[in-house]
Amino acid sequence: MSAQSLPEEDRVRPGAGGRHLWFALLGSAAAWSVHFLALYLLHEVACRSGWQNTTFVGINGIAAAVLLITLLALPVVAASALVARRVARAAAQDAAIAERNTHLGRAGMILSAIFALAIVFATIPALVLPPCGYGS
Amino acid sequence: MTITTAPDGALPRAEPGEQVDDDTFERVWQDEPGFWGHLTAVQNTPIGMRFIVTAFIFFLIGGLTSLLMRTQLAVPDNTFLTPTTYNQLMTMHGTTMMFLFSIPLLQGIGALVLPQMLGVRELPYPRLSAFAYWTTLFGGIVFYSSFLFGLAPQGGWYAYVPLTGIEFTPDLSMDFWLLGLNVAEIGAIAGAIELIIAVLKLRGIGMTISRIPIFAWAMLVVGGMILFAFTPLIVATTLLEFDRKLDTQFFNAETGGKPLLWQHLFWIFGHPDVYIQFLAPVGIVSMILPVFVRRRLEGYTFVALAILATGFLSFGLWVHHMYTSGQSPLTLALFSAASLSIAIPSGIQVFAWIATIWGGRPIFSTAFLFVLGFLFVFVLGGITGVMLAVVPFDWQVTDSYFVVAHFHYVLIGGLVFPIFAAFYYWWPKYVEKMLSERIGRWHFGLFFVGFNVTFFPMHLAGFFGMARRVYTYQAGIGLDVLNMISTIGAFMTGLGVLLFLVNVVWTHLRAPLADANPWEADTLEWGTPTPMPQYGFRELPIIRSRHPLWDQQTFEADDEPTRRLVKAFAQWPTAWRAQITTTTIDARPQEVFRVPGPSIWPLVSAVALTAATVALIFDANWIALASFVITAIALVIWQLPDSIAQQGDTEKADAFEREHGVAVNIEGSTVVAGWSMALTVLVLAIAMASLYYCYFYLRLDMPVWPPAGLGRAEPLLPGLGTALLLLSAAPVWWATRAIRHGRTSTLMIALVANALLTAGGLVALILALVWLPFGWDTNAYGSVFWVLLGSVILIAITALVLSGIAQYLAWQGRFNVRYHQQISNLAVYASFTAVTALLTYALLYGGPLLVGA
Repeated sequence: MSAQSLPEEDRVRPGAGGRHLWFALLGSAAAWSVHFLALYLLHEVACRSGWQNTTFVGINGIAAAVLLITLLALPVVAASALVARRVARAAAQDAAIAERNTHLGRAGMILSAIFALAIVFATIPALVLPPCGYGS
Repeated sequence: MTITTAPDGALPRAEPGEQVDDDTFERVWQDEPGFWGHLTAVQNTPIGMRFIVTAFIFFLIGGLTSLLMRTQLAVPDNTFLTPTTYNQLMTMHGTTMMFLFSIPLLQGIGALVLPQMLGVRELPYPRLSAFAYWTTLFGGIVFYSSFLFGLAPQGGWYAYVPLTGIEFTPDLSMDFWLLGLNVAEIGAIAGAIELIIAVLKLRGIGMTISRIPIFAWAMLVVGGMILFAFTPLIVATTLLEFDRKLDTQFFNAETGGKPLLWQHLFWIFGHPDVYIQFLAPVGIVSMILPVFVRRRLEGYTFVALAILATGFLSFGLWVHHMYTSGQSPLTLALFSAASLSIAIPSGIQVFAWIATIWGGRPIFSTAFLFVLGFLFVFVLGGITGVMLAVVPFDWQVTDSYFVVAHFHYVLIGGLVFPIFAAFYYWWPKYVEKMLSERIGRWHFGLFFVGFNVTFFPMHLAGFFGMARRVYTYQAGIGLDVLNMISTIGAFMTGLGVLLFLVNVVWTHLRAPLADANPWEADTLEWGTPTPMPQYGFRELPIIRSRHPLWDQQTFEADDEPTRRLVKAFAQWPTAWRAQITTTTIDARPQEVFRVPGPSIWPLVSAVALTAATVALIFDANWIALASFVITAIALVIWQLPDSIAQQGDTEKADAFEREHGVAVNIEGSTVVAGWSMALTVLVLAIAMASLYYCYFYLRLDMPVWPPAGLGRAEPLLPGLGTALLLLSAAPVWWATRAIRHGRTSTLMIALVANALLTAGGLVALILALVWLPFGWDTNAYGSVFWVLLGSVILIAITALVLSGIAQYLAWQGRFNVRYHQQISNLAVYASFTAVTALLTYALLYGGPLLVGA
């Protein structure tokens, strides 16, 4: 159980500290959090500053900004899912580490799916609803 | 799947013959005797018990207020209670259940159960637990003392402005509410920091991140959520108190304030709070359910990730309490989307439990009955929750009894049923008696039927138009029968709770000592003898499974170095309370450290903090200031490392370290200290972020910013102050490098430089503040300006105090190459101070230029 007794490939390098494991598990959640906050602040600022009448390449400026934020967030979720998949498939001689890899990897992949869904879900209204009130 | 239970006594216990110095070990882990011992106790077992008993008493009081309200509502146009009394009872009921019952109870169960469930002896920072308990208790007492003065608050548990502002509530009732709760909330945050570090850093050797019991996962997520949710609430209640006492204008619409800002800040707390109250109990359900169906939890990974996902998503729901407050369509849709998304992780958990029951062989004990009751009631509450997440539906039923029915199904279903299950389940381990199953079944039956009889008709009453928060209703509009049924149900539920009390008293008098593991449960707390020794385990168990008592025949390590470490640790140290921190992901031994023992200072600091609060309520500002200073001094004294290490101890520590390759810190854990500093900085950062949010929220509705007619805030002097604070961080990093190489004289110079720069920056900022050409009471702009700059000053004062403590310890020669955690912590805090000063300066002095007029 001590570090010396582990096979080389199983050791978490000091300093690296298993950061890729945390990204695999929580990267998608972090992406959703930033995406959500950005959308909320955008809605608060845009409508009160009167940006609802701007357009960008033919679509409403606010809707375009929402799409852009989503396009920035989804690749982070995808990256988290890919790292999670690699973690889940990583070979490990030590049974405890193999178990931990499977657990964290699977959890990361499913969380990525949930948060990808939540991100898409939050994006769709911007494409179909008037941004700042039905009169505007 | 068959389960073999570990043979009785399979957990390692040091044989009497091989123990040296046995008495010292036992004595060191005992609290001091007598009344003094009760005041100084910090151990997780007494603290956890106190939390639970105190919270349960508040539950009984909160329950009694609801019976009085139901009596009033039994018949239409009733005059049993006056409208004022009804409003007071409604406010007390909500506030008690949300702040004084649920959170303290869950923190108590966490403190009581977690250490031994994780296979260790004690929480990482026991004095913080004791402080958390005392602040919760005193905060609750301050809050309830408003009854004695005839000043019980009437503003509801959500305390919406302007009703709760000074204009409409000019008496002191809201001050009791705001300040009493602030003290209790500080307790909640302190408890959360403790539980987070416990789950991340104090697990048994071998309990990797994939073997953490689900309850511990839940408490970890709950701890994180408390930090992110309660901090904005403390900011909100402080700002409202400033409005009431100091005439700031945050929520006053006439001078640029925003009443809706209160609702945002309150629900940024309030909605996650509901999930805080639900996630910890579902963690309990995931522990109890498998034991009573004799089968492992299906989908451990799924349940753990569902808890994580719920924790995150719950912060994206707050506006669904504000659907009717005039938000833009996109904002409504954004929050509706998150409100619907959160049904996915909740659903995952429900199906995992159903699958586990499906494949198991249920034993219908009282604890399991309460779990089944939870499943039924909570799913119903969850479904009405999804209905309410849909904006148009919410518009129809908002502020009606449908909402009352919904949240009682969620909160009583999601919280009270699991907690009764937890009582029946853990009672034999911690109270050492089996609760009567026969009385228990009656308790469950009355409670379950009574609950549904009370709250199911409220859905209909809501549809028929009954408004919540109103003390009566008209006769003959279809509400008479439904309300009478609800009242009968409420008294049935109350009778159920009374039976539980009968059960407690009866078994306390009659029942024999319970077995060590009467349910043949799987987690490690059941591997301790009953009665459990304070330290739980002398020889630490090695964990190889998620269900150690079911799967493991032996608790000794496979490899020789770990086996020798564990054996040696059972024999040394015995003269002080010792624990082992483990690595976060793989739970390998990292550090042997001395965990603080009994101390009176947590109590002193909590008493002083409460005294300051009471003084503030009655405008005795100098007494308040003096009490705050005493609080600060007590906090510092309790942090100072006790110097009981004998010369022999240091030598033994060195020998232990050489032999086992694990750091030994007699002065206290560097790991725990580092984590607590990181989490403290996180809490302060969240508080500052909440204030920045207020700034932008207020700014966006103002056509001219700063408002016309105000003098211009001079940027040069605060710019100098900010620059000095920025520079002050550098010498501490230099000091950290110096002490790592053992250069103590460089350390001293660097620390002095840090103190001088911080003090200089502080003076410049204080002068900038007092020379501002507008007051905090001029308008909302003035208020937010003063509060933001004032916050930076407070943070800088703390930095200066920490720097002073570091100087003192350095003069005492307490730092060396190996032990210098206070310096590393100071480096983190000074950097945080620098960043905060810079951001705030940019916002206050550069913001108006950037955003323009």
